[in-house]
Amino acid sequence: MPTVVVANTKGGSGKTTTALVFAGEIVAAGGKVVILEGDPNRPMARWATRRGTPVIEANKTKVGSAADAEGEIRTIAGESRIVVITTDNDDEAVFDWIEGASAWSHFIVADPEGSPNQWLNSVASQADLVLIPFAPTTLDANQVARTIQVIRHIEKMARKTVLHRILVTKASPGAVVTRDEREIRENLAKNGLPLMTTTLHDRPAFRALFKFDALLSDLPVSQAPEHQVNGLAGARADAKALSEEILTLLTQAQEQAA
Amino acid sequence: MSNDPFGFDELAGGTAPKVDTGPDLSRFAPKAKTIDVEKAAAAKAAGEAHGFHSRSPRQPREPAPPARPEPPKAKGKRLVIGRRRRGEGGDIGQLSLTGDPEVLKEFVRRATFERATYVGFLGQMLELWEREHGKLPDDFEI
Repeated sequence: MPTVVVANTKGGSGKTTTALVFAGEIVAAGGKVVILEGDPNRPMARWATRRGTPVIEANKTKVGSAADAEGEIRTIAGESRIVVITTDNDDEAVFDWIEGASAWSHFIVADPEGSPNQWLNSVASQADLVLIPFAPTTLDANQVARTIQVIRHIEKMARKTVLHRILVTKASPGAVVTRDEREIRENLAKNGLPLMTTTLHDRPAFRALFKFDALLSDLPVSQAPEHQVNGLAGARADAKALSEEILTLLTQAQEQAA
Repeated sequence: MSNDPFGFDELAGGTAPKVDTGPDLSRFAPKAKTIDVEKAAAAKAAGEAHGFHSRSPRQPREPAPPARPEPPKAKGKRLVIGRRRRGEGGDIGQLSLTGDPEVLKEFVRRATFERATYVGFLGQMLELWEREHGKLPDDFEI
């Protein structure tokens, strides 16, 4: 029941896609996932509603304790292995939802708004891993530095280490690495910033997750020509590598803490 | 991740075909966790200290807090700053100041923290105060 927060203070960095790819891998392996959505644009809730995945709107479902939250999740989940919970920025019950979700799910994946706010602070303080996705452009790289500053601030105030890793997303899937990407990677390494080995490349199959309201394992949703998706094998390889690297990191962290 | 959870393949000398069953989640079985309330509160306070906005744009607004008490009533000599908008006849803003430092502080507080309409006149207001009433109060900070 670790909590993985996918955070970047800039929107459009691939947060929601990363969260969904990882959640999909856990579900495909027989696990259960609660996706905690803090983004007021509600992309995850929209995805879930369209495909019939249960959604709890925390501002309409008041809970007084973690046990209440767990009960709500179990009731709405039914046979589903994914539940999406949307919470607002200053929702005090977010901790009850995290506690309740941890009793039901193998993983909690948090998808915050693309700007620093108290929701991010609250949830990241409980995180077992913060993933910072970013597209390899100078604009995004600047925001990575900002997100890491936020994490360091949280570490200082919460008096705990927050395990975090930077994840390159939307990278060119070809063999050629752009000059921007190479320079950014070199810069991250030079500054000792922790970079994931895995990359989520810019592949049509990742965009298809939202086009067809699907998980990678659902694709293609039919054999019809209009449902065929390019880059599926590559996307599956990226997703597998991502989940394995995350699980390895969390296992190592658990062993160090033991 | 293990493809051989029971060790049968290993017993057989690793001859069974490898089947990708996905990641092993046994380490991450659901288990109620307890939030460290103190750390959570500290992190939340960190956000407040950082000036992070505390309300997402779509969230309904909370009821307005009770109105602040009006600044103390002016006593003694009044100092008036007025302005006229070009092309219009009437005053659109007027401030009244007295020699009472508390009144001045309340005006400045409103201008800086509540972005009152007269915020653009702050410098002029303080100059007038000093001209009329002498040095600004010692504990005065903007």
